[in-house]
Amino acid sequence: MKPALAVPQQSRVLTRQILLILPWLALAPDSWGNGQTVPPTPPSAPMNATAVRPGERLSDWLLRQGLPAGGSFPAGLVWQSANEKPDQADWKRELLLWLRGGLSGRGDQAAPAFADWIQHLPVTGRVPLPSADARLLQARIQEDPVLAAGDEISTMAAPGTVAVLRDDARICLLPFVAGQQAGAYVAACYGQNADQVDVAWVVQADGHVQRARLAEWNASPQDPPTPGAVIWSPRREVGWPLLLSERLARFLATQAPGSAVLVAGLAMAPAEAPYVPAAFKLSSQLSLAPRDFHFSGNDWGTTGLLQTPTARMMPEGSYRVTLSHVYPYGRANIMLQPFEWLEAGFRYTNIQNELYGPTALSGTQAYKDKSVDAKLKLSRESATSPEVALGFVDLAGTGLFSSEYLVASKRKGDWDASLGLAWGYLGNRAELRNPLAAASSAFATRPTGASAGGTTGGQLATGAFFHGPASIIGGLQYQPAWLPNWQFKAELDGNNYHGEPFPGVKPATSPLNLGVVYNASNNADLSVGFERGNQLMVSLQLYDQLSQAHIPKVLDTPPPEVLPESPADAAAAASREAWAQIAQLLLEQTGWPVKSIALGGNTLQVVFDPPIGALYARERVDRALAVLHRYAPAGALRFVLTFTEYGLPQTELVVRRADWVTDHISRLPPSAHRAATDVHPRPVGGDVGGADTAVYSRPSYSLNGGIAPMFHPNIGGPDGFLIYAAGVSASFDAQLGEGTFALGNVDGRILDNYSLFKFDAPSLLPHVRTNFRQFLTTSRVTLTNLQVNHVEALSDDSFAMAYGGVLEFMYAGVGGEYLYRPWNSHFALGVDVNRVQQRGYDQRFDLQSYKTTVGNLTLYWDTGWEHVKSTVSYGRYLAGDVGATFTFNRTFDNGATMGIFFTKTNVSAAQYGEGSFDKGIFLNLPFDAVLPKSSSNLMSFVWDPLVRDGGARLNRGVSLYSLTDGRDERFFDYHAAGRNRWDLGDDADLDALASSGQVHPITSLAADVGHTGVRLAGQFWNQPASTWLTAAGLIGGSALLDKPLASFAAKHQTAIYNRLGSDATAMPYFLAVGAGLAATGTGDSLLDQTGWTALKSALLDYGLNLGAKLAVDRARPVAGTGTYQFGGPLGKGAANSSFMSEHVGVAFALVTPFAQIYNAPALYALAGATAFGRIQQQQHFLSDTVAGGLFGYMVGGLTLSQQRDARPGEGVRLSIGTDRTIRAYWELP
Amino acid sequence: MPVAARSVSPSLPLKVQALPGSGFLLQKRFQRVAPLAVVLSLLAACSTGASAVRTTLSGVVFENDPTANVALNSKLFYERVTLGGHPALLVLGFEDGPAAGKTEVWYSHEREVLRLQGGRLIGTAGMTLNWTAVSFPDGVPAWPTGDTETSAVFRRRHSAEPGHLTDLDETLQLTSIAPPSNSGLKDLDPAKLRWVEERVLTGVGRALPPARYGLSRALPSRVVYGEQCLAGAFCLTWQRWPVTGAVPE
Repeated sequence: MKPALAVPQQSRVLTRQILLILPWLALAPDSWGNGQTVPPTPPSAPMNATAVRPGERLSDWLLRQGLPAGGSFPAGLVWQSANEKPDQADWKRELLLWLRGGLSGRGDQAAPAFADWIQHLPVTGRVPLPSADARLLQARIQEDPVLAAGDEISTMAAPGTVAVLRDDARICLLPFVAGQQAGAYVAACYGQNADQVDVAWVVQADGHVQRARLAEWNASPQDPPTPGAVIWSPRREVGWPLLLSERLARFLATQAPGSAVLVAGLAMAPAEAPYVPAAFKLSSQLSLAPRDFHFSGNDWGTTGLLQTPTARMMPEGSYRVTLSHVYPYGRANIMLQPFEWLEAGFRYTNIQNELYGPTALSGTQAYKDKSVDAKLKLSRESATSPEVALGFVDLAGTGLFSSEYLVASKRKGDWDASLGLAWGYLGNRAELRNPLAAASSAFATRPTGASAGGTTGGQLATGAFFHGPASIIGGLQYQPAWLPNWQFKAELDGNNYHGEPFPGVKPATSPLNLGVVYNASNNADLSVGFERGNQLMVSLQLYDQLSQAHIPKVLDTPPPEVLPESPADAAAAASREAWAQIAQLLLEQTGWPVKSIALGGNTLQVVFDPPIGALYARERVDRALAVLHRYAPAGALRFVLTFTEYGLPQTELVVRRADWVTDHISRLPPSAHRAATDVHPRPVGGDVGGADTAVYSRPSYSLNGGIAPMFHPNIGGPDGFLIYAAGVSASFDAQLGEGTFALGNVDGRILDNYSLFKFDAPSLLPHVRTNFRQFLTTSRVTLTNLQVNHVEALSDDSFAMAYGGVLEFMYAGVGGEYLYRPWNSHFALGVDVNRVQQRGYDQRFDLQSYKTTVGNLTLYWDTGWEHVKSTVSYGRYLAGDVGATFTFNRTFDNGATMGIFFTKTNVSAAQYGEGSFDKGIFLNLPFDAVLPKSSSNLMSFVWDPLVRDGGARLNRGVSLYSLTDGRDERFFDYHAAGRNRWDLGDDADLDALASSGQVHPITSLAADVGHTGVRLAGQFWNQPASTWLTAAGLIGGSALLDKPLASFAAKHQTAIYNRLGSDATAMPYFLAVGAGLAATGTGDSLLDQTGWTALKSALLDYGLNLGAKLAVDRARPVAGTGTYQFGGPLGKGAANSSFMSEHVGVAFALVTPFAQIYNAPALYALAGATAFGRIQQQQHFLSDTVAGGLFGYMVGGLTLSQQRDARPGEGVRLSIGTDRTIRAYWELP
Repeated sequence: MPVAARSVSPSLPLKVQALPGSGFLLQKRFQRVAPLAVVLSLLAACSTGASAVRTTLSGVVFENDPTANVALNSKLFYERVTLGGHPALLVLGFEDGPAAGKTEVWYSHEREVLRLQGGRLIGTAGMTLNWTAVSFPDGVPAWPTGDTETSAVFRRRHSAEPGHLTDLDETLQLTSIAPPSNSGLKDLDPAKLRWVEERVLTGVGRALPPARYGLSRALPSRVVYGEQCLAGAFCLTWQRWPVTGAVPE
């Protein structure tokens, strides 16, 4: 490593600075922060700026300078675009507002110095470049900017220093050391306070901003700083908002490398100007690169140690398959991470010391147990607090291994420690009395069987949760830097193995378990352990982050090259044959069949018709546009792409050809890129600009088909753990006319072990599903689907479908469906009715005698939260039972979907049999995410643990909702993961900007409610006395009518009055649902915010009301003890006090924000109606409802005022726009 | 000053010969992921995705050499390059710099760039790992000529992306070696070339396999073949193509 003096010759100006100050170092005080100040220098930039020729490309400019490879410091190539200056001027203004308004207002001493410095920094319009290599840019013109008048390009030599920006506005200059980590520079500048820096923002010389996690509890891999980098490193105690740090770093990235520091030398007072730390010592030893801590799974598949869980989770969108064995248990676990805060999954446990069943039934097969687990993260780790999680093992299963736990984990460097409590199986050592027994003695013992929650398995044994004695669990995990692919684990097992489900298990001779994990690859771990003091454990784990799965399409035919001008031979596309070839080319490039092409005016319209398929529509649209630009006449200035599916209108895109071409033949600065790509989908049927001359139309008849491998597994039955069939599956899709199509599928079974398949599960219900074995085993060649369908669009937003034939492998029949699905709506409503008959076991054309009518009313809801969709489907099922099916699923940006479903009908758990009710987990993955060849299809995995007859649905292969997926607002949003975006600041994690450090979103919502409540208390305290006097007067005055109205209510207890009273009492529930819908994004951001304010108000008012009840304890009218019967404060039954009416209070708390924001006083009448109901039901006196209403109105109004009065840095409202920009807005007083 | 470049290709935009599959990009990831993807898709039993699966299978199991049996354009110069064992033909686009130390700029079909100077790799662009600002502050010694000759130690400095790795210094040394039996040399007897190994003595590349060069025996400074690992999983070979005429007699 070079000594301090040997800075590179190229860093001219800063080299002179450092050489000048070196003689002074020996005299400088030996204390941090008092190093030598860098003398200011004239503002001549050390850069080589050469005028651009408007219209030339960056590659041309570089070649003119003799820099074909970008020069000796490619990161120092700076492109300043005049186009970007207005936006960046806004950034600067916002930043100054934060610094001078928010931070200064909070008393931050350094904020004025920051503000002065920022004020002096120029607005440059800098745009990061993907490459400074002229020869690369020449070949990739879409990455080669076209320079405009007013643009500037400059190069520079590597500055030779790295600057650390401290939170006291001091800038510390250090010599650049190749490969040195950001943490080392920060440590050099802060000294012993460096450990208070959790996160630093590294503004690299090339204009990229990267967040570096530096602390022992959060260290993760990061790029080292480049020469000229600025490291913004606030200490946690200073409390800079995350958003402000991101903004600051983003603005600093607009400055040329090293120049911001130069300006600081001019702008700041000498005591604050950049300095070299007096005691800085250059080390020849590079600091070790920080590493992520690899958290592997435990024997149960959950993230944890060996037998015990930790509070750690997998990355969001991950899966993990774990196969583990420690006698007598072999476990196959599949865990999913649908959210950052939820890890859940299922397992099969092979219990070697117990037979599955009677030998005649299942031979010598060992017992198989199914179970479901869930773990919830309660809080994220910080510098001073651990990560905490609450979990459940064998949540819904036989309950053999039922456990609950609360565990905390904390990291320090290469060590991770966990400590917690476990109940149930994991806590069977049971050395502790249940701490919850202090609240209720019921927690002291752990119930089993029916008293816990059921005897048929599959039910949530909530009666046993956290009951019984507990045990301490915990352990350590060590990941040595000197052995990077290994982890070592040690844990205190909470189970002593004295009470195993089946006899024959040797009790533990030691509570200490030890293990070692080897990371065989990025997706596989091997583990070996020694548990209980006498057992060997082995396990294999396979895992990946499905939400990030992506693969380049190296096997796709490349699209036509995009050239600036329409090719001359595009005019030749005049014959029908030529257009037919273009349609074929569009099909090859996109996988979308073309229904028609029309030309007219300046518009070319292409209609694509089924199957639109799964996802990644934007990439396909780009390919289609490349084809159209290549072959369309030059006069076609607009392309309209219309998507229909079997004639059902989906969505439409209108693209300005020139804008699209511009964006694809040069690198545009962000503002111009946004303008060029400002294309929003619209409903089908908009103006097509005269494109009414059909140049191509596909025949209305078509036939598509394919053959693929087929594999059908059945897992966990008594005949064998895996009963399977493998073969081929042939399918076809035939279009028979406009809106009429036929689907069919034939399976051929080639390889199977069906000779073992003998068991039919018993059932108390009609055998609508439990006889599936006969269907699978009777015939080798089976017709699994053959149906004709006809669909119609009844209006712009409603659709109908009729169908008949072999609907699925067990049922044939006819049916119809209606769907109301507005374009781009969060909601859809559908109804389907089917008359079906069970098919013959050979799955040919014969039918059995069982017939039934099934149907559903289905509500589809895109919640707008974390891309979660939900359906509720109420109806009649195959066995004649009636009930509802619920599904919840989350779809990630790359199309990967994780979901659950369950069905509850009027069939009791006993009638249903084993499992109690139908439930399952499903996982969908687009082929596009895992194959190098584009495909429109999905892989779908469904785990349905038991096939029973209750809650059995007809498995229709096609539904109107799936046929209208193109109407979903996310249709164009799905994309391949891992796209490289090089816009300024987008290395930042936009989701984290909105995070307050709490777990998103549940505890962040709770934190918001708590914060609002604290402020509300202050607002109440600050109310003038007149307010309270007025309220007291109104309540007191209304009390005069308590007795007469109570008498009136007592005399009006007839059916109609009771009905009115009951409906009025339900008003708060309807209002709450309405506020909830508003808060999920059904409308605009104001409705969203107001809905959330209303919900918070309701929660806070409920709490206030409870306090009043406990304090007053007034008898209700129905007690008949008169209007003035009071118990003492906190008396027995005080929680049921008549004063105040919580129904009325909550109702007013809910409506007040809406009534005031939207000037709709009529809403108060809805809330007031609740009072009628409560009085009629003799639950409250008039004065109780007046008091409740007044306080509810106050709470609603004051909470709304908090929404309106949010200040910068303290309740700034954030919205994430559809263009993925963050907007912060507030109103200044 | 304008670069002294000789444009080798007929015109710009560069019309690189279209060779299916001749781009690298992420071939290796494709290879690693594709088997899993195929297994997953089989398990999912989705029949209408079959064509993508079939194409993937043929790409994985039956991958053929896209550089074999290709009709070459006699007006272009080619370099057969492999990345992780997967071959592609690159075309010479430009020669930059003075005649005494010209840099050859080679292009793949996917518009990836490989720079060679005197047969030595001095840069990549558009790939998943790119070397930039490669320089030899002390110059480069002559290729050893004897069977056991070792050159003086010399320095190399480079930057690498992704990762913002800047000004990484290494010291290297050249050593004559016997013709290796495990090189990526194609259709040519290694014994016909003189071999030199370039080993990193200090610096980030010390743990990587040494680079190797096969030089013409007739023209001692003409590099016919080279191989170098830029990272553990990123190893390139390059060889003048076609073989006929690549080795001066």
